[in-house]
Amino acid sequence: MNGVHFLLVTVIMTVESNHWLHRSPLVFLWIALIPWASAIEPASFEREVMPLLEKRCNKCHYPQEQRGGLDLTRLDTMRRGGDDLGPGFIAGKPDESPLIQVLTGAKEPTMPKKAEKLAAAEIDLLRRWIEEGAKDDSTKFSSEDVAFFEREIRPVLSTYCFKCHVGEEAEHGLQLTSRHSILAGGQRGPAAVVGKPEESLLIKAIRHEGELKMPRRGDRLGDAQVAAFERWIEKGLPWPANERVLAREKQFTISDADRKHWAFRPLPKDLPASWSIDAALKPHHERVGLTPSEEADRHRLLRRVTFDLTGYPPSPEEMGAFVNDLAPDGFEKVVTRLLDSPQFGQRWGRHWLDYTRNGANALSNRGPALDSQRYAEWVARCFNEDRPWDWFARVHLAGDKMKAFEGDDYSVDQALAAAVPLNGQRTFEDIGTQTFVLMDKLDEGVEFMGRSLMGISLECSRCHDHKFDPISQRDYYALLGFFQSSWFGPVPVNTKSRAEADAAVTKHRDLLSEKMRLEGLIRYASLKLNVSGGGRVNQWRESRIAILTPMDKRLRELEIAVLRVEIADAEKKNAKSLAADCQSALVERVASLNNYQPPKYDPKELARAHFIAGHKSGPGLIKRASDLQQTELVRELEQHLTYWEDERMQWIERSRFGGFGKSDPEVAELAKADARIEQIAGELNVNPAAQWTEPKKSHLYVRTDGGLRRAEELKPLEEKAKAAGLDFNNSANHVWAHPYFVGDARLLLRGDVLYPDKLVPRATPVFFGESKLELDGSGRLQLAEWLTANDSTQAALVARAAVNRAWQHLFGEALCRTPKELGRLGEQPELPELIDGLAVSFVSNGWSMKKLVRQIVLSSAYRRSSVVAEADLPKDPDNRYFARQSVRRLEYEPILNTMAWLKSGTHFDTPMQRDAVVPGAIGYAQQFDGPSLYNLIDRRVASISATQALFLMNNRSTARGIAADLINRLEIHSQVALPDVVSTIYENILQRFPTDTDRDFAQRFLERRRQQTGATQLKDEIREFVTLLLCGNEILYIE
Amino acid sequence: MITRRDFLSHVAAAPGILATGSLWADDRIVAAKSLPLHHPGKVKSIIFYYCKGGPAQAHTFDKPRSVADPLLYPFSFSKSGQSGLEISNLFPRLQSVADDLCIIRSGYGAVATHNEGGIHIFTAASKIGASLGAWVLHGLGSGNPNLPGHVLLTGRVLGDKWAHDNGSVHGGARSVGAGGLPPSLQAQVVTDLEHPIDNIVSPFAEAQQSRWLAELGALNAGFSARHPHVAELDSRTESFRAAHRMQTAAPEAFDIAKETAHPVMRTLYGLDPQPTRSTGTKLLLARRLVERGVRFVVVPSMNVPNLEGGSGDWDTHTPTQVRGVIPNLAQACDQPLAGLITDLKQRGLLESTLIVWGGEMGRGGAGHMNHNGSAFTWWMAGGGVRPGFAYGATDDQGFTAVENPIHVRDLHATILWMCGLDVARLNHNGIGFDTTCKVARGIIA
Repeated sequence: MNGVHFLLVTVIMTVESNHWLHRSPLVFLWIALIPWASAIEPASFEREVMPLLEKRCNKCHYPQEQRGGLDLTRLDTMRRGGDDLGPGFIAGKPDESPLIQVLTGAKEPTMPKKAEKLAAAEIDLLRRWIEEGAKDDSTKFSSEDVAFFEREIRPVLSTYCFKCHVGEEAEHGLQLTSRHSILAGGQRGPAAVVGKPEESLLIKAIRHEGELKMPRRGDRLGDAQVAAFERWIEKGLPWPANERVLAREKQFTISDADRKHWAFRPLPKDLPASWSIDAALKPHHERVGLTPSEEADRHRLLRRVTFDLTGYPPSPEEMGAFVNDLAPDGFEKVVTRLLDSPQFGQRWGRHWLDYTRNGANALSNRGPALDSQRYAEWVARCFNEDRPWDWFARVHLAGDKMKAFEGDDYSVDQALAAAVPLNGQRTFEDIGTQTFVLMDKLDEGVEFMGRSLMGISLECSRCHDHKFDPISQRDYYALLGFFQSSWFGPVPVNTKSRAEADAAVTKHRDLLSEKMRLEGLIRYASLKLNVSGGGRVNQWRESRIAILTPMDKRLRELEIAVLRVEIADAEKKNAKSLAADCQSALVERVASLNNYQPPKYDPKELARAHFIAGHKSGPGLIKRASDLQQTELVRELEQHLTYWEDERMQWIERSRFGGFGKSDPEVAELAKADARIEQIAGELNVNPAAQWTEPKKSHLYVRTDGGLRRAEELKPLEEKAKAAGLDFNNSANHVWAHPYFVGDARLLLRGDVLYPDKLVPRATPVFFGESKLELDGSGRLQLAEWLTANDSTQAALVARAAVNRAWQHLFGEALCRTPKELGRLGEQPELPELIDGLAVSFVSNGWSMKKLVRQIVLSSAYRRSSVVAEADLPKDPDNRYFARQSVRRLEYEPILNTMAWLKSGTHFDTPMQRDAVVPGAIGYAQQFDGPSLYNLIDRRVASISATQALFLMNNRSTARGIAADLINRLEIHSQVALPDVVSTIYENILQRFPTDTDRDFAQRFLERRRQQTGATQLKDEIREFVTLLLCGNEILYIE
Repeated sequence: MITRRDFLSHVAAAPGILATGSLWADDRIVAAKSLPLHHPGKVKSIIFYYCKGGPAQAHTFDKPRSVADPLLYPFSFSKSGQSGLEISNLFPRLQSVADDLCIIRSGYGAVATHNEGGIHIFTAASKIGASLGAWVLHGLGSGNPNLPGHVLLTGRVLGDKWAHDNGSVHGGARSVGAGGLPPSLQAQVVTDLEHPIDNIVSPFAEAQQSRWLAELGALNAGFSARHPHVAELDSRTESFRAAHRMQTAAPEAFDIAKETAHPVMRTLYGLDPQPTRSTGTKLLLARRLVERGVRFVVVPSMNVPNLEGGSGDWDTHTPTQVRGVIPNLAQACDQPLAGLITDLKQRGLLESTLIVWGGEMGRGGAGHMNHNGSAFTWWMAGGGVRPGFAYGATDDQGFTAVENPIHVRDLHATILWMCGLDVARLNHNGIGFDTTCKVARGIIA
């Protein structure tokens, strides 16, 4: 007991440290040493009792909730008590007070429900307080002072502070929701000192005096507001007596700073007639003192624009045509030609695929697999046909519910595109994790909508309100409902008619359900047959042992025979250690045969195919015997192979049919069901648990309304299934068989599926304004239409994200360097008005990507040389004002394109065709930073590593192989000397003419080579020189 | 302070370190974040023996105080060494080096499915999905510009008729990947111990290649002169010279013939008995690599025969697997790991090398046969961990970490701390680690 009270004193001291600090250290010591501190300090309602009740009781017993009619936040309501037990306490009589009785277990219901009991010291505190008369010692304030608080302080607290400083997980442990908690403070100590604003941390923070500046990220309070807080603290922090705690849960608020953030503002209405990219950049160049570089020379300009627009280098003919075209619109004609080439869609479609996890699959832990190749082809087509970007964005949410672009009623391609956001990762391990992984998968849908389409981080709000952007946790789950209400998978449909597509989906789902039902039927019936026969399966299995024994023994003899032959052979070849290994195996096998014990047979044990016929882990007996020409042994072993496989199939069959054979009349019904299952499996062509295989041509992937059930519904559904005699469990497929879901998602506390909370109606994030969507089915179509609604903030984001990325692809760096995070967590762009200008003109040009690209490419900014004047470099080292072009390494695709083009002289229409031409194409992806399938990629890295160098330098099929092919293609004869072809080589490889220095280098290269090797093979010399250029820097970089 | 140009030409082109546009954007980033340590750290290299499948701590290094069903509990423990650490009798060799081990019994926060668990156990602390190995290499920089800095060693030696596979890591490439860090920080995966690195053999004679490299330098010098401010151009030229050096360094590092000729080494690493020959060889290789400055080597356990038929890894779900597989799995690594510790000690390398033993999760439930993310055991040795020490404890049955619980991310933060790296200051383009990571000072000597 002493210890307990000692503890209480310390608590009081920390809580009201301002109060105690003014006493002398002597007093401090004296109190600490006196065991019965209560003797001098009665239990305080304000400082001790109230905080304890808040912490342990008032999550249910507060005015808005009043569980059991009880409100424990005020003395008078406590005195009134709840519905059942009468007054909460009887002053002076703790043991007769219900408040104490329910805590000690003397009276039902014991409290707290579903949580740990209160500690003895805590109960003791309440007891003591009641004993002492249950008085409220809270500081009383005049009604004027309370009115001052209500008018000046409360609105500020609730608008600016309650986003973080509320509840158990308050930021830095500081709750600003009650007078007591403000005085108690958080990890940095008390937030306020009564009567002393100058010493109060709160005041320092809102004045932005020190390191701590509040509220965070902009939104500094006005001077008048700060002054009000100072007066409030001077007055002793007046607080209303009837509302001790203002809030218990964090409150989502949207601040002015949010609204003013560059990417969250509406787009300007229209642009001045004089607006252009160059006009927008000019004042910045003048301000920073930059002299824009000259226009790049024609060779380098054409090389740059051809790579940027098509991913291929220009051919010597194209180069010649452009260099000799002296008309003023020469460059414009080139741009038109490039935009019209099929490679434009490949190149720019590829940029988009980076934001779709490659639209790809083929990984065992990501199911149902997408037809990524078809998707990639469709994406390229959209770019080539310049389909509007807003439409393209909408298709990725609701393509299956939209009319086909071609005018038809339905488009399988669009349905496939709509499935892309759901192409998340997923495993089917067990029911516990299934729901979890399912959640992650849906998470990726919201992430895709935010990151890929809008350029913001919606997924951050899964566990809590977004810390930086005006997106609440509730907003997140409001969006999640759209994704949860839909599904995608392979369905045999290839149609332009919606009715046919719907019918195919329905049929597909019916087949899935039928299959699950039949599986359940067989399992259940076979269990009954087995049990009613007294363990029929085991009886049958035991009957097999006697039959199998001679065969098993014989197989062992055969192994021994093989070993003997191997030993003899090894000895003949004098392979001593091999012979010894075989010998020890032989001894062991013979001993085991002499003491023969039948093995514990089961289908796994019976899988002897690997042992007999071999496997990648080792050769089988047949191979071993045939290597040593033992034809007799081989023949007998082959018989064994069939025998044991047949036996194994029988074992599986018997266990599936309750101990009967499939053809036995007792199980005729089940056999029929089994046959039907096989038939359905063939039709479905989908097994989410299995490795991904190429889909049948007739099977196309669609997205459709009706998603998987919510986690909490799985259990009741399972019970329902059991009651119907079905077993849905233990099957990787079982979630598929449940009724499909269209509805709202449940908020998950801390984003955890194990803690579902309230349902959140499907809606768009509050920040973007009231939007009353009339939801049809899943509501995805309405969501898609909302996303690109005219003049909306969300559509502005979609446009800004698109133009920012287009700039990135043409300059090597985006205007806002965090292209999938335009929100407040991202980097502040130097030229937000340029992004806005481009976005406005993009939208007014009908969201045309080709017009946008043309606009940027035709600007002087794009056409400038990347050579920088020494004096300008320090003024803008990172080239943020684009007074010059960049020097950047090609991504993996253009590198591979270049190699394919050098080898074949062809610009390929698809990556597949290209990869077929270049040996070891996959190596380029690995070495030159090909995109990952796992993430939404907003920038390609350009790594430099020694393994890359080894790949180019030592691999016969890379640089040297391509060099040989190029020499052949250019028909350079073996009598030709290097100096005669330097020009051809430079034109083909670097797309420019050699300078005098280059010719000089080639000449000296020859001399040095001849001098050092003594060799003069002309063709070898040329090949080595070409290899050198292929490994050099210039070919890999765009200037 | 090292200048960018020095850094570029000497270190940047080394395997495992690379240039990206953003990385080179700022001199300070390069100098301040890639090289100097945040505080003195002992660990220069890490060898991670990864137990695939999630080893049952109750049968290996965390003896439960109470066992629900003795029939499902076939193994016994002994107090070992001066320290009296309780270690399963399945590990007689490790028992003999118990005084070098620091057993962490209170791991928690693992993801209890294999694929996700594997990714989680290697990347949990990172906000950008980068693996622990990638971060170590990022933080410490390459210790040998001629070798890859991060290696996943799998494969079987010739004549291994015992193991059923080469060993692999759950989660695949992501578990040893670079995540959002530069891709060259990902592990170099060795699957064939005979040919560990692709394209390592030059088709040309040494003199001819040297001349060729000089020509390449001369060629690139012209282009660099046009863009003197683009530093990565020089770095790329240097990468070819590094590759050239790697051609000799890598085969030398992977050539164990001289060492394996010595009977003492054969015994020490168990290179002759079937169950240990592949693991022993890989751990010997791992030692050679860290000796040469490689920062992070992962050696995953292999599928081994089940004494009662079939084969298996540490994912022991049935009594048969517990009885039949665990003894073989233990045997496969017992001698080799004890040998590795002894060997490193003799060479004076144990202080600067950290050995980690552990899997992607622990086990619990009936017979300790189920997946369990709430408790798992790892042990470490060397690198300045407290030797002969057991950190933390689980509840009576060993299902939940209750004393000094240490989250997966805390383990990462602690390992990095021992390398002299502070997760609060370690980042790439401003993004680094989960802010909830804590360093478990208790396990550091």
